[in-house]
Amino acid sequence: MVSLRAAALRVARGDGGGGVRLTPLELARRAGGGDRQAFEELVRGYQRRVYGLAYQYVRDAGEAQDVAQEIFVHLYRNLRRYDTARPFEPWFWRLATNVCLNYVRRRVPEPRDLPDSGDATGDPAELSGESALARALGELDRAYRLPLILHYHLDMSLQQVAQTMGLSVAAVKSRMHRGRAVLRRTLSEEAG
Amino acid sequence: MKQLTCGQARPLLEPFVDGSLDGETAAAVRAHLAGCADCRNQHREAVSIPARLRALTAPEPPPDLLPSVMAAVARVRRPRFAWGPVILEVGLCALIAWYLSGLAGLSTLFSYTSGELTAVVGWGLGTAQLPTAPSLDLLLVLACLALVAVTGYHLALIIGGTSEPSGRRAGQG
Repeated sequence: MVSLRAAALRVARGDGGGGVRLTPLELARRAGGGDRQAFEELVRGYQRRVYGLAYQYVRDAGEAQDVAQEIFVHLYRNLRRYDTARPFEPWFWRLATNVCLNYVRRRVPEPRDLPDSGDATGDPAELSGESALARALGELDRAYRLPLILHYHLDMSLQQVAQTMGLSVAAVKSRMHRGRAVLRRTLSEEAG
Repeated sequence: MKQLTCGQARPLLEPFVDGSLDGETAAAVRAHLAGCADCRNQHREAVSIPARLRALTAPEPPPDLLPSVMAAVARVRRPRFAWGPVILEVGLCALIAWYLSGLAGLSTLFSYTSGELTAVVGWGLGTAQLPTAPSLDLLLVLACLALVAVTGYHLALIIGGTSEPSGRRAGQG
């Protein structure tokens, strides 16, 4: 049974819970003060996007769970150092992407990381197109891959991507254009 | 209007798709595309990529992700700055420094120690009585032992605060 307190802490996540909805910033502030239920709500609110981010980096469901867990443990450790005067999301996503990058760096390279068979539905041609794009994205230089994942997969605005990466919006746009151009060339070469 | 080669037009396709080019350059790209089938194919690919990136799927997070995260963080001791041990360490260091009081103190300590060691050896050989340690030496020894104990405790706190469970196994125990 969900306690009243947990219900009151329900983060805005569109579940029709009806309790007092706290912003991620407020949850982070409370969790930083040692409130485990606030932290749990934070994890609940972000787990889908964090897992999705991890999956885009490792393309393996099991490993993505490891990475997502590592991200949340890092978050828990670092919440006390988080300056609540600054926006939460750029700080959090910077931490999350750093954990992903460190994980990929430590990882033993495999010949080819293929997506799980159960990760998408649709006709085979579409699936193979998505696989090719996912593979090309995985091989993209991280300077170009990160803004593409943040903007297109995590639905961040260019401003949020810029804050997360510590870059100007113009620099983010430029990296995204270059990244997409590399993807276009790679996909064209594979198709041709 | 300037004429573009394929080599000039292709790097401009992504900004062209996003509408980031100035009017004159955009018109030049448009004119080039009108006359170049290869670049039109590249343009079609460039148009499709943002939507395809948005459509990239990821599986749903497994239902045990949240419990495993909470189990992992339950074992995490957050790094903390332990003021108590630091105050004790500083106090003990000050006491020891005061007792040793620089070079003169060190030399006094050395002469005491060597004299006492000689007396202990003499006592062992049966030629002298067991020396009685000056109370201040006992205080120094106790202060050093206390400093070692407090520092060990402090290190344990720091190490305990930075050890980290990782991976699914950490959350399953």
